[in-house]
This record gives sequence, C-alpha cells and structure tokens, in this order.
Amino acid sequence: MALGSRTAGVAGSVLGLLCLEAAVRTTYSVRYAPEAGYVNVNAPGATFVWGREGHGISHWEAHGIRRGPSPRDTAGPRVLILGDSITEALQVGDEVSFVSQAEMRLRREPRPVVLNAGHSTFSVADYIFHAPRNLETFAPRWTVVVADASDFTYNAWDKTKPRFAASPDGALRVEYVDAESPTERRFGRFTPFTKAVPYAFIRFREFRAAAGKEPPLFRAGRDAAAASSATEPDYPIEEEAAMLGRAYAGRLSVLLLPKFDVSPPFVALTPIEQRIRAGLLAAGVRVVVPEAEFRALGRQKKCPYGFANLVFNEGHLNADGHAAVAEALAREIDDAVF
Amino acid sequence: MLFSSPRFFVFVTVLLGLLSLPVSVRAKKSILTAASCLFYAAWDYRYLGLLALVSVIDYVAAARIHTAAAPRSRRMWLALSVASNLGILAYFKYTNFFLATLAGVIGREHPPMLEILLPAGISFYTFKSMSYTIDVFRSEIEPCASYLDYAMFITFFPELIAGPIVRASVFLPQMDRNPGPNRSRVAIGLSLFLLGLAKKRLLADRFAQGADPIFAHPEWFSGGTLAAGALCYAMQIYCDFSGYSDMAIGTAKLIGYDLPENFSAPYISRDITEFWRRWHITLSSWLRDYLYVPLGGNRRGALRTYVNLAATMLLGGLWHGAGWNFVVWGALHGGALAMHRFLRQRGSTWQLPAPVSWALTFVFVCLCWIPFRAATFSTSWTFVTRMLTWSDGYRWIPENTLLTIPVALGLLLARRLENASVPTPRWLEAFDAEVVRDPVSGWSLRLGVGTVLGAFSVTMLLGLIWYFAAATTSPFIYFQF
Repeated sequence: MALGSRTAGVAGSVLGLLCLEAAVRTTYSVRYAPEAGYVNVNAPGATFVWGREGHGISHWEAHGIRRGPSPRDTAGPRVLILGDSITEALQVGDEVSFVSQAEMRLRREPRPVVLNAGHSTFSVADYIFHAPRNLETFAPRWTVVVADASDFTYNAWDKTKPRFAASPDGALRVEYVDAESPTERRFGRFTPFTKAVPYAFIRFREFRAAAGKEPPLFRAGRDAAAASSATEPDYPIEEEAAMLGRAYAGRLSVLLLPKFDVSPPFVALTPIEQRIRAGLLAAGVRVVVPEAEFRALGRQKKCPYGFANLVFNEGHLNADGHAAVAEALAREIDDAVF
Repeated sequence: MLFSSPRFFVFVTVLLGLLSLPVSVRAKKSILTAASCLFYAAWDYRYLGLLALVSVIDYVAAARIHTAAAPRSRRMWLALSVASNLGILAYFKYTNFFLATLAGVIGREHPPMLEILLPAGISFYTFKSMSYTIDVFRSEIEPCASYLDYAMFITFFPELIAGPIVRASVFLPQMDRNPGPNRSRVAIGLSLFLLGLAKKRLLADRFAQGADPIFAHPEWFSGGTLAAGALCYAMQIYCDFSGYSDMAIGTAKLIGYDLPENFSAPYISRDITEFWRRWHITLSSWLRDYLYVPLGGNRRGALRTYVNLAATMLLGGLWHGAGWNFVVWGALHGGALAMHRFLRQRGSTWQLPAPVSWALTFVFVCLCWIPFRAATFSTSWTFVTRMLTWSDGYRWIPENTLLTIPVALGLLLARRLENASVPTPRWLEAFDAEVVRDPVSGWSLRLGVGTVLGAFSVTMLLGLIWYFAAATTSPFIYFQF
C-alpha cells in the first residue's frame, strides 16, 4: 500500500533525523557527569568519539581520568597530569595521548601510574582552585601541569570561569565562577539519549559567533570586531607562578608548550613564555619545554599541531606532537619523581 | 550581505512578504528596486551613487541611440556609454595596477598608490549595462520604456554583486511579469538555493580550509601537498562560484524572474573549448559577443582568429583582477584555445580517447588555477616549480580533498540530466525530484518531500549543512572581482 505524501514525508524526515543522529555520533559523542566538589567531568565508563578535529576515541574512568595503558601496575607511585583540552586530547586515541605514551616510556619498577586529568577550558587558575581536591583525590607523588602562555594570561583572567582576580588589598586570589557551559545546562540531561540535539545547539552558537564577525552594514572596509588598540595587560605572572607552586606544595613541574614555527629554528620562546619560565623557576617549580623534541620534528618536516581535517599548524597536538611531548614528559617524570 | 548569512535570509523573507501584497506590478517593481538598492548599500552606501550614475548614463545613451537618425550620432552615444563604463571600471579597478606597472618599467621602487576601494560588483554591472546600450545600438532590443524598469534591471540584487551577467535581451522581456512568489517557483527556487548553499557551505568552505594555508605559503609544503592544495582550490572555486550562481538563480526564481545558466558541469569537459562553453557561461558569451566577434572572430583568417582568441582571453583574465597573475591565467587559456582550434582545423588524425582528453583538460585547468589563486606572481612560480619537481616539505594532505568524490558524482549526474531529450530518470522520481527546464535558466532540479526518499534527502541535506558546514564562511571568491 503506497504511503500518502504527508505520511511519506514524515517517515522520510524521521529516517533522515535518525541518520543524522548516527552521523553526528561519529563527530561529537560525549557525556558528562557531575562530580561532588568539582566541575562536571567526562562521565565514568563513557566512550567519546570526536571528529571535529582529528579522529579520536577516548575512554573515561572515575574522577574524569582518561583510561591509561594496560597492563598497569596500580602499586606504582602516582603522577598527576593536569592540563586543558590539549592534555584531554579528545582528538587522538587513548594510546596516542602523550600521557599514555609517557607512562609506557618509563622504565622504573614499579612503573608510575600517570593519570591524565586534562579538562577542556582549564587554566592555571583552575589548577590552583582545585588543588585541595586534586591532592586529596589522587594523592600524587608528583604533579605536572601542562600549559601554554594563554593559561597564565588571558585564559586565567577570563570572567566566565574560575579566574585570577586582585583583592582589595592588591593581593592575588582565585575567584570561583560556575563555568557550566550553556550546552550542558540546557541539554545535559539529553546526552545519554541523543548527541544531535546538544550538538545542534553548539552549532547554533558557532554560527551566531560567526555572524557577529560579519562586516558592519553600510560601510565597507571596517572590521566587525575592530582590532583592539589597547595594549596587552601586564599579567602578574610571577605571583601566579608562586601561587601555583604553593598550591602543590612544591611537588610540581610545569610542561610549557611553545608555539611551533614551520621555519628553523622552529621554536623560539616569546617574551611572555620566557617570563613564565623565569617566574616558575623563581617559585621553585620545575619547568620543562619540549624545544629539542619540537625542533627534531621540524627537521623532519613534521608539525606538532593541526589535523588534516581542520587547519595546518593550529589547534591541538596531533600524533607527532603527542609523541614529542611524551618524550619530554617521560624524561621530566623520571628526573623529578626519582 | 553574503547569500549564506542570516541577514540575507531575513532580507529575502521580508522582501517576499512585501511582494506578496496585493499591490500593482509597478509598486512591486519599486519595492524590488528599493530592496536591491538597500542590498547594495548594505555593503557600502557611498557607492550607491556610482551605480545610479552608470544606470543614468546608459539609460539616456540608449534612448538617444534609439532616437538618433544619424549614424554618427548613434556611434557617439554608444562611445559615451562604453567609455564611461570602461573609464569607471579602469579607475576603480586598474589605477594602482597601472601605476605599479609603470613604476616597474621606469625602475621606481615605491610607486605612488591611491587609496581606492573597489566597489562591489563593478565588473559585473558595468558589463551588464554596456550590453544594454550595445544591443540597442545593434537594434537587437528596444530601449526600456521607463527608467524604473531599467533601474530594476541594473540593480537586481540576486546577480548584482557577482553575476550571472544578465543581458537586457534576457531580462527585459520578463518585465511584464507580476513579481512575487508562487507555489511552483518557490519549490524550484528553494531547491536551487538549497543545493547552492550546500555547494558553498559543505563543499567550497571545506575545500578552502585545505587550500588557503597551502597557497599562503607554498614554500613550506611538499610537492604532494601542493598538488592536493591545487585540487582543493579547483574544487573550491567551482563549488563556490557555481553555488553562488545557483543561489542567485534560485533567489531570482523565488522573486519571479529567470536568470541564465552560468555553469554546466565544466570539469567533465573533454577539451578546452568545451570547458569555456560550460564555465562562467555568461562571461564567456559576453566576451564572445562583445569582444571576440567585433575583433573579427573567425572571419579574418586562421592567424587572426588565434590572435582574437588570445586577446579576448587575455582581457578576460584582466577582467578578473588587476594583477599580472590574472593576465598569465588569461594568456594560458587563450593559448590553449588557439592551440585547440589549430589542431581541430588541421583535421587531426589522432583522436585521444575520451578519458585521456578529459584528464589533460582537467589537469591543465587545475594548473591554470594556480596563478589565479596565488597572491603574487612569484608565489605562483614557487608553487608550480615545487609541485612539478615534487619537492620535500611538510606533508599535510587535507582530508577535505576527499570531498572531490561527491563533486565528481554531482558533475556526472549533471551531465546526464543536461541533455534536453532526457526526461527525469525514474530513480529521481522516487526522490520526488523533477528535472525542470526553461529556456533561460536551462535545467534545474526541483527537490520534493512527498516521498520517503525525498523527505529523507532534504532532511539529510539540511542536517549536513547545519552539522558539518564550516562554522565560518569565507566570502564568495567572485565578490572580489
């Protein structure tokens, strides 16, 4: 019996929506869960599929920790790796992430358990604010914060999330701001059932942001977002570094990720990066920069950042970048912990 | 105002609502003209006066040409029209190019450059306006009876900024229509617009993500990466421009008018002559009728024909942009056209198999896009030499290169459907789709949601655009011309 056109139309649309749901799940398949005394974490037991940048499948355990390599000697000393989306590394598989690779490179007995606690959007302010929780939950022998210059500057002063602020007496403090994303707030309860609905909202926000960058009406040649003529604020890097060191009782290293230049010498620390390194060292914090590893990549005509489905030399670490950073991280863990 | 932006959707929706009002045809034409002026002013209101100036000069010139008895007087008015249009175009588009070239010739390092903003669409509306006066001069059309009709023709917003270059002989006969949406035109118009939007957002913008960094710094990348970048750009410019044309033609159909076809599956051409019958059809036919034929066409012997072909394409290249790389692009195509004509006229005894001739044509066209896209002449030289010598460098093959597959399938389908004697295939009917033909726009695909497959396809197309289009859209390539 032939379907009426209206029924056929509805049936076809429903079929289309189901196929779109399947297609979205190859690109954006995430699930979050609340964690008492902390932020929403990647849900324990969840498998994330990420195709917006790179193609990664990641598995998540309790407390927002990414699954590590197996077999694992759980008796080994714990090393906690904190970082943002670069450490979280949704773009690559579990075994490719630099945290997993670093653990596999360690040759000590018992082999340390290197915990990947990367959380997208985090900055140095978040690591300081959540230090008591991190130290109590994981009891690490050592902590490594993976950061770049932005995590000490504008990211750490972003008003929409936990940030540094100046107290009335001029002292530096960290202010807590509930940073639950609008997507999670509106659609968090749907994510166990559908990814297309929350992802549609994310796309709406992206299109709205892009529409805001359209040229102004009626007057060509002016940028919609006029380049700010204001100079970069003078961030209190040294104080931030000291706070970070105190928060982790001095058992801390910072792995500072530099930008990569495709031309030799491939890596050259900017003035702000040099200042961050000096500030951390002055605060008694160990600092490691994967300069040699990135230069080796450059000599092989490989770039540590960027994926073939997005932009060259921009965005997150790719497989080559993860391998390079893993080398530096493993060496630092070996030196610092043992 | 980009066709793929939310502002444009709001603009068209409001306009269609106004055109649905029960008012006279003249009132609707006024609304449409005003809306077109608003559309243009949304880019920059200061250049609306220039558009008005061009339209007034040519309207008056055509009227005088028509009424003048003496041939000398008719030629004088024609010369005024052509000179004013080309003069305006030359000033805004080529002044700095001429200054820089002259400085290079006399050995001056820092030529004086003027701060001139290129008015949007100037290359298109000057050609459109010139075609009007020339056709009146040739007695091929009557001049417009009213300035309102002419103003609506000149300012018609769907094709004002980047074509198709609509001739008066095509558009003016449609002036008797009552503009406004009706059911059948809305179905075809929306179908065309949706397909054009998919070409632009799903394909062109994705190809741009691959091509842009490679063309920005060809010295960084390996030969293989450069080849992938060249392919990405070839796909980008086709999807971008044909997508824009589809959206323009679809928007015009929504309003109630037909615009001419601008692309006809050019990348499956088997020779360069066929390519230019399928690529940017309105420009190539304009150049043929208003430049090549007046130069003598093929009526003055073989050598003169080759010269005419080369000169036409050279100027066609320069029309695209004020730069030597565009001249090189035009010269390459002109040379190829002349060569192809030479071989055909010799009754060449060797016929290449169709796949080989297709491959040679496609590779040649892709190589020619390199100077077209590269920022400078030296950049294009670096690109070509590094690619052809398969140089070492960063290997970054954009995944979006794979999108060439759906483009190829679409071109093959288009080739199948363009044959006027081929009715809608049965399998397309299962998608509630229909091939619609009209004498102006050629063939179009009307999508439908009356079957399961039809509704599924439209839902998937809309969903793919929403979920997988690049978040930021790049400006239409031909907006810069």
